[in-house]
Amino acid sequence: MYKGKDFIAVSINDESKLIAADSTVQSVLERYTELRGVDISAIAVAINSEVLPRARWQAEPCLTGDKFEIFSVVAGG
Amino acid sequence: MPLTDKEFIRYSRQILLPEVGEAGQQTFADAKVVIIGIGGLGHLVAQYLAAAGIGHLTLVDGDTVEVSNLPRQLLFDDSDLGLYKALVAKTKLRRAYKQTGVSAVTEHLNHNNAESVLNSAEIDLLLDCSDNFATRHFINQLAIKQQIGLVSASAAHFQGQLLSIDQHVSPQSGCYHCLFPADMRVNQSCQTVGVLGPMVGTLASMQALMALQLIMGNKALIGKLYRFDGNQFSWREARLPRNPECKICRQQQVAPDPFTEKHYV
Repeated sequence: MYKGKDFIAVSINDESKLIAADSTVQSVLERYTELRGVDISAIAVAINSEVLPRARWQAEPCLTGDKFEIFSVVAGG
Repeated sequence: MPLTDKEFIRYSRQILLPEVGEAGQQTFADAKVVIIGIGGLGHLVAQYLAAAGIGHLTLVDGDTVEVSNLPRQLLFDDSDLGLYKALVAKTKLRRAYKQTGVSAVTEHLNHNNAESVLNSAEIDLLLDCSDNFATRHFINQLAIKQQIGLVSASAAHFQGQLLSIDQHVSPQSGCYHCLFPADMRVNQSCQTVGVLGPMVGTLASMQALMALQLIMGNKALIGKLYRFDGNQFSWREARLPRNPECKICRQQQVAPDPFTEKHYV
C-alpha cells in the first residue's frame, strides 16, 4: 500500500487521484496523456482555477488538494 | 447626440438596466466592432449586436453559404446558398436594424487585408468568431499589436471556450498565445467532430454579452477563460495571467509584426 508521506491527493478533471509527492505538473500531465494516448502538446492545464503556461510545467511542484483541469484547444466556430 | 424618442422606446429594456442607462445606449451607438468569421458564432453575434444598437459592424468572411451551415447559421436560408456570408448578413442586418451601419469584407482575414480591415483608431472591439487555430493566432497578434480589445469564442463537439483579451486595460492578463501556444496540436473543429446548433449558439450569445459588457466598461471579465461543457451543462472559469515568456505579448514592440508574417494566409 501507499505510504501516506510519499503520496498526495489531488483531483484531475474532478476525479480524486493519488500522485507521488515529488510529482511536478509535467510528470502528472505526461502520465495523464500517456494513459489516454493523447499528445501532451495537445493539452493545456489550469491548476486551482489558474492557467499554468507550458513553460512552467517542469518546475512547478504539486501540492495536496491541487485541482487540475486539463483541456484541449477548441478552435471551431 | 441624445437618444430620440423612437430610440428610447426601442431600447427601453436595455436602458432600464442601471449598468446601461441612456449613457450606455449612447456608448453602444458610438461603438465600432469588427467580427471575424460570419459562421455559427459570427452570424448570431452580429445579429445580437446590431439589435442592441451597436453603431457599426464590419463583417469579415470569405466563405459562401453552404447547405451544411443551415442547421446552426439561422440568419441564412436555402435562397442564400452560394452567396457570400458577409454580404448576405450585411443585407439582412441592414434591413432589420437600420440604425446600425454594416460593412462586409468578402475575403478571409489575411496579412494583405488586415491593415485595411483593422484600423485601430476606428475600432472599439474585435470579435474572433473564426473556425481555425491559425486565424485565431493571427487575430490575437493583431489585437495585441494594435491594442484593441478582443473577445475570442469557439465551439466544437460539446465543448466551448470564451476569453476576453485586453492588455491595454489589464496589463497582467494573458493573451491567446499565453493560453494556447501556436505550436499546440489541435484536434477539434466543427468539420471533424460535429456540433449542434444550440451549442455554438450558446457560445455566440455569451460572446455577444461579453462584448456588450466590455463596451459598457466592465473590466472584470478580461483575462478569464470560460469553458462550457454541453454534455454536463457546466461552466468552468480560470484566470489567465500573462505569461512573461509569451512570444506574442511579452514585449509588444518585439512581437512579430502581424502585417509581415507570411505563414498566416
